[in-house]
Amino acid sequence: VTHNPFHQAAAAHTWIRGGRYADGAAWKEWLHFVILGQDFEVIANVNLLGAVPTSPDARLILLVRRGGWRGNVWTTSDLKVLDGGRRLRVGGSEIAWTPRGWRLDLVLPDDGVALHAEILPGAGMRSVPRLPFGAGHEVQWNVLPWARATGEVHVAGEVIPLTDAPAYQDHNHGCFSWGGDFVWEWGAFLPDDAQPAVFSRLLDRSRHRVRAAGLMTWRDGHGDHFYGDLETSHTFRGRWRGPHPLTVPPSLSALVETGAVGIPAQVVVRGHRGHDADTISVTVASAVRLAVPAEADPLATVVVWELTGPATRARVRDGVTRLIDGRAILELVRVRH
Amino acid sequence: VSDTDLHARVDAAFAALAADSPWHLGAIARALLDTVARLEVDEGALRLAAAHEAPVALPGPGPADVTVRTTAAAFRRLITGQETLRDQLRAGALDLRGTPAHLLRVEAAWRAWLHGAVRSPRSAALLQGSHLPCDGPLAG
Repeated sequence: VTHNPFHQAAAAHTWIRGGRYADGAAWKEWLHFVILGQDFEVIANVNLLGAVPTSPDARLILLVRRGGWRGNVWTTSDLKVLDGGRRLRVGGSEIAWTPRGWRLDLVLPDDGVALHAEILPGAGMRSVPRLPFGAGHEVQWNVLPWARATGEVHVAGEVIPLTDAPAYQDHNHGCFSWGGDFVWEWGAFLPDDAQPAVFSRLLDRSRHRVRAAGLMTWRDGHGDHFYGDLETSHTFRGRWRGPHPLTVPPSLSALVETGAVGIPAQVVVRGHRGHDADTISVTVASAVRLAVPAEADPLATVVVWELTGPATRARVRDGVTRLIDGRAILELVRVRH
Repeated sequence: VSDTDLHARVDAAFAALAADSPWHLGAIARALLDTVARLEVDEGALRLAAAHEAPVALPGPGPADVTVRTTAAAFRRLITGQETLRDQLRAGALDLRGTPAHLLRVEAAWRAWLHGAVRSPRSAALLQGSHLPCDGPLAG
């Protein structure tokens, strides 16, 4: 195994917690992976719905953009947490943390979509505790902002090879109810080298009040700035007018069929501290959305918009500006009644 | 779909909701209030009304405030996300008739049923719609 200085830092935050001592039904835990290639994109997510001791359901989400988006969400109670939480088996799919990094073998039954990949950490992990998720609930967010993915993606009968594609991963856990008094707006900027940036904003459900905001940057894989609430601004511009987005699962699409109301065409996030600044500009080029029945409201649906597109990072240090090109993913959570 | 088939399917859908999410069954009735809706699917027809905090289905045609006309195939495309309500109304695959006030009540009842169905494993099994291949509209 080649020594990877970022592997050890990530290892502490990889194992599945399972929520053994948490409020069982409210426990949520998920591993999220994003791979942004030049002509394809992959979003993979495995999440636990409820604490492990109560035999929760698990949900596997696998979405691939190759021209258009394809994929689905699959829910099962066939879940096993193995090797002290370092390996998770969901139906015929498996995620494992190995001495090299993540090993993913994810297969959506019946959909012809699969991801077989190794994801090697290429930047330092950061952990953000106690994010406010409404009603006193808090979530811990562990961010591996940049990695390299190698393997293959199967979609619509095609096998797409992955070779050192830029990737993002996070592992999050805590208690909350879908549809509670919160939404998040999150994004990751992935260039070809280890100069990523990750930003987020937590708001109340109606998006009138920001509760927390931040922008984290890395330089050559190492943690750079962490701009906090008072040092960041998030600007949404225009309205995205792309084609009607794929909604998964299809059974919820009739509840969220209204178009991209409130979905921006461009997002600009800026962090500023003294003479230093970072500005991430993302132009939305594609959209897909995940719908989740709200737990906190029987007549509401949570819509998780996944938006991708080209992006730039303008980094200013000591009066010198460097522009870095890349791609970005944005995730905007909305609650629909 | 005959009158009898349609009635059996709607009854089964309400029974699934009664077992898994009775709150939503009440929400359908509260949305309908005093509105009677006639549902015509292929060759079958029934009327929906609210009674005692739950909707009831009466087999066969009859007078109604709202008429909803569709086909079983179009309904399937709707609930699997292949087409939207707007798509179907524009294409004539779905035909709605009634006053705006009555139509809004039926639309609210439809949404209450959908909200219940997506929270009801028995409904998902009935619809077989919880895990269907995604060959619907694709975004670029």
